[in-house]
Amino acid sequence: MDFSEFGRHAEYVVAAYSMAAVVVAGLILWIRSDKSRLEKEMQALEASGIRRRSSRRAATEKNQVNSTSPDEKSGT
Amino acid sequence: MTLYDLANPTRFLKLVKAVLPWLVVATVAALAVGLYFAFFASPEDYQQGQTVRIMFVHVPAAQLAMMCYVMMALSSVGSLVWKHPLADVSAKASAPIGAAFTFLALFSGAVWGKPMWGAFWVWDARLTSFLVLLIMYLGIIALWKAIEDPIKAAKVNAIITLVGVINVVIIKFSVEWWNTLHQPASIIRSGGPSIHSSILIPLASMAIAFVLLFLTLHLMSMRNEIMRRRIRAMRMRAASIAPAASSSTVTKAAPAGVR
Repeated sequence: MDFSEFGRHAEYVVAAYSMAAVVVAGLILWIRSDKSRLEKEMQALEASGIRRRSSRRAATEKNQVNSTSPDEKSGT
Repeated sequence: MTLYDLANPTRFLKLVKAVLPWLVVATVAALAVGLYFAFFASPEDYQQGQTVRIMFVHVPAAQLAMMCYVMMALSSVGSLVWKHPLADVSAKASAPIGAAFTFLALFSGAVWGKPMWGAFWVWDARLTSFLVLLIMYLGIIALWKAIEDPIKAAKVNAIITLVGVINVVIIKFSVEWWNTLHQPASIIRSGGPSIHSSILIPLASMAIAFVLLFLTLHLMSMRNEIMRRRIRAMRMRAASIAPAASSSTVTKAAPAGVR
């Protein structure tokens, strides 16, 4: 669409849509950059051996299952 | 899967992972359709001329600004009544999105007001109450940042948010209660919309696109907030383990008489 068709009020229409684009793009970029920062932070914590309580519990349960002998597993 | 199951953050994150790509596609498609209607398939208004196209951004942004506050208020009820952390997460994630769309509604209203009213701003009841909404959003964001304990912050913010619902009611009925320059309700009103379908269809298309955009951004933001809380919990666990570990080391290293 040719913006000259907007006549004497073109700058107002362009300003409104430009600001909408800036606000939406800004929100998306902010949320995405926040996500990547948090992911890096969590990876750094996990790398240093710190685990979430639920993941530690899951790991313990997994180890218990693995350490159970075949006889115990079969119930004999 | 019941609503109660969804209240579990891990299950919620799984759902977000599955839903988000589809929601992004739907949002982009709806925005494309909305912008097509806004620029190519709608006539200029007989009074407003081409500036009517500003309404296709202004009205959905304003509706979303209020919807976002209602979402925050409902989440606050969830926080206070059921004390569920996911409700806190929802309330916190809504605030910056609501503030952004309130700002956009005020800005687009101002650039529409200049050619139509001859002024960017008037101290009209609708405009002023909307400015109050922006200030409330900024205050709530500041309060979330000011209180370190998320549970305490959620409680304080929930009470303030629920008190602030009165402003949403004032915004909605300001054009009826007071003599304002802002036009009265023309979409959600008794007797149906007073807008011609050639303008109503682009407006509705953009409104649907904005709602989808809000859902997408809200889910993305909630996912971040859940991750932030998990990191905080991990740091607290690490901090609680560290002194215990260091004290046991000191005990082992100390001479027998000191023990």
